[in-house]
Amino acid sequence: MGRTVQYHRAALRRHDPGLWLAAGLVGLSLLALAAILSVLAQQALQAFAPTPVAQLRWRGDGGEQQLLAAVVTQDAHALVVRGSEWQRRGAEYRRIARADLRQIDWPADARSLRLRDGREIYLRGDSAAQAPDGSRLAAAEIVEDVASNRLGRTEATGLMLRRAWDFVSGAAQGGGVFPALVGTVVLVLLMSVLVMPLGVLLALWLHEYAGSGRGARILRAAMANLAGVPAVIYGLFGLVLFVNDIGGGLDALLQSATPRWGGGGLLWSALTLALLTLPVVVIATEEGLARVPASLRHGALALGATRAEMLWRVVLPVARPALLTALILAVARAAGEVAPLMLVGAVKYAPALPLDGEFPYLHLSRQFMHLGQSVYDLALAGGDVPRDMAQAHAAALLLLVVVVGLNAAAIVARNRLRERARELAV
Amino acid sequence: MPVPDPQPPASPLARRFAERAPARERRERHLRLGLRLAAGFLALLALAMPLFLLASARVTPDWAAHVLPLLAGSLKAALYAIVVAVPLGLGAAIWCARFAPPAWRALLKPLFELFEAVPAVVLGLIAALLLAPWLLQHVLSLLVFVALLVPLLIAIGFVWQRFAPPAWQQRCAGHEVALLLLPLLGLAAGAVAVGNALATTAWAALLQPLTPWNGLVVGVMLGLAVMPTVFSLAEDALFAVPAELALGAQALGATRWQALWRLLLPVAAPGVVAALLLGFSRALGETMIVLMASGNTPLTGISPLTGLRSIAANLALEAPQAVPGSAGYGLLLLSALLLFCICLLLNLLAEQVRGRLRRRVAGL
Repeated sequence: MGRTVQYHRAALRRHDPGLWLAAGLVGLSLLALAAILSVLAQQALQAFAPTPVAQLRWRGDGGEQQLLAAVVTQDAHALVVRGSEWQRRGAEYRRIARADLRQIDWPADARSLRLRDGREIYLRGDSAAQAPDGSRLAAAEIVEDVASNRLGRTEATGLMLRRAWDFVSGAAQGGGVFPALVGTVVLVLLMSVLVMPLGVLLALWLHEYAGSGRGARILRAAMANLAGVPAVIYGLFGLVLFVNDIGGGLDALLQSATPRWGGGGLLWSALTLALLTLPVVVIATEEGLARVPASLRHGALALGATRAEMLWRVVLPVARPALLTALILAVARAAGEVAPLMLVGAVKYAPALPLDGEFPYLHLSRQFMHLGQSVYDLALAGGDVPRDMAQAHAAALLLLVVVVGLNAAAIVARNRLRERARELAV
Repeated sequence: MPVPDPQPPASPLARRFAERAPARERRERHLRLGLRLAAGFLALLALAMPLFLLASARVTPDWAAHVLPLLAGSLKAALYAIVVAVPLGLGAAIWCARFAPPAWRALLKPLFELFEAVPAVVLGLIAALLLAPWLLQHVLSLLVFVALLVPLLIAIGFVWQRFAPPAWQQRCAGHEVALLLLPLLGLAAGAVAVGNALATTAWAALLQPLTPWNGLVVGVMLGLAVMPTVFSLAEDALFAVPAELALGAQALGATRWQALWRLLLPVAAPGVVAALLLGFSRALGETMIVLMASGNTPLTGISPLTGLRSIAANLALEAPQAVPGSAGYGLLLLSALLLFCICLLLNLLAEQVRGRLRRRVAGL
């Protein structure tokens, strides 16, 4: 008995169960990642999938009722349906318990009309749409007319693709993400213009001129710590410094009656994000500069170039992919950041785009919409909950695709750079 | 650097060189000045941020009642997150740095880097709208899953190494992750089934969260968000330890796991501690996930089944409406200063500890 126990212990010691534990934790992380992505994609698709239309008969408060409605969700206990929205979008949701349900048919001749303002109307057969009060819908109002229950697979896919495109490109009725997308892009471009020169100059100074003196040491430590400061603190800093102090001061100086610069706006947001991404740019650029082989610098200097010429003509061109990586990383970080923007200018609904055809074309003091902010607002503050939730997931998927795509590009560019540095060093 | 002054100007080329020399020197000076200015700007900025918060922060007599629950909320959220992130991140780092074949490592490192880049608001959305309602029903399933996870993995490893044919073992060495995916999915399905079966018992009632948005949801999602940070730092630390060390231990009869646990992990300990500290710091400052999934109720109890409100989420909620100069504004800035200082302290500490790792590895 004792001997077998000893044998088993020895066997346990000889084998590596811990290795399997570590491998299992990798597997678990991968599964969690996969679950997050698949759930997000599935929810986002629901925003565009056609909903089947049912003819329902159930026992309600005032006796038996019947309705032609789209079935939004259904489970073992109840179903949630959406009747024709004659009055207002999101006002016709009804929850029907399975116990009360008498009959449910899926008529083949059911049609669902989508109107310009995002409302949906359900009909049967070829009858013209007629409201309960007798008024008729103008044909110009209707933007989509689909026989919901008769859609084939290809038709349904085409419909979903069309709706997804409308959602992104701005043609969607009752809210798309186009203004938010424009706001995000303009913001990120402005931020890049602000942060890149400063970040590259800083990296050049740190790497080429400062050496390992005290100033450089302090600056390096400051940079490492700035990179670790929570994003929301940057937002607060932007609110206090840019919006309240500088913006408020500008308003007082210009004697404007309404706060123009003293509220959140595009310029202040871009400046805040530029500060936030400065450490990213500096660190990535410095890494690239470190990979430029010393032989190139020595060669340039030996041929009589000044230091500035060596940097400008030789080092920076060789390190160009590193600058690109720095830019992409900064953009990816900025595009995904929401918390600081909530403090300095992103809003739920902005009446105008920050970029338009009116002079001066780019409106720096305007409030703007942001993709991440839209995700937050659609998720938690919706009036038309099922649709808003689905749209929040679609916006989140779009944001994820943009940010992850940018990061993947940065990773590929960085690997290229490493290979090239290795070749140059030979 | 002074430009060499050619004299006497003999050839046309040399004359041109001499003509252009002042301009070149000027350019060199300007560049140096520009660089200095940029450096000065950054130094100023690093100083200005805490000073601005300090200047506008205000301590009212009842500051403790406002700020301390928020601080407790932040610490609680970060603690739950670390409890999730450290086992996942460290386990993944150990496998990736020491056991994975190069192909797996080349796949996993960028994958987790991409995971780190996923916007927090996306994770917050999933936590708030999908994870929270699910966990409201399935706390017990989660508990069963976590309790059975470690024994299951170790048992699989033991059984495989004892009873699988050596040829299989040879072929599958290094691909343990792929082999384990199915058992993990099976365990998840089993845990859900067990949890559902136990749903009507007293245990389930005891573990029923009071609100859908609670510390548990925050912990799980924030932990997943912080996991890549812990992973990449710990992986770097473990990978930096020279391989000869492990090979020597194995030559003396240690198994790979023993070499790792007794030798490599202690050597890389500073790096692992730094990973933990930076992960904690990142979890403290994370805003969107906590904002969307915590319910934002300032409760101080330690139970993860109740809501919480963190400093960062409170800033995002209240700062846009706060009136500059009011007492509430001062308190907000005070709480921000507190958060800033804690994160700064953690970062400095982590930097120190990492420096120790670097010296230690350089000495080997």
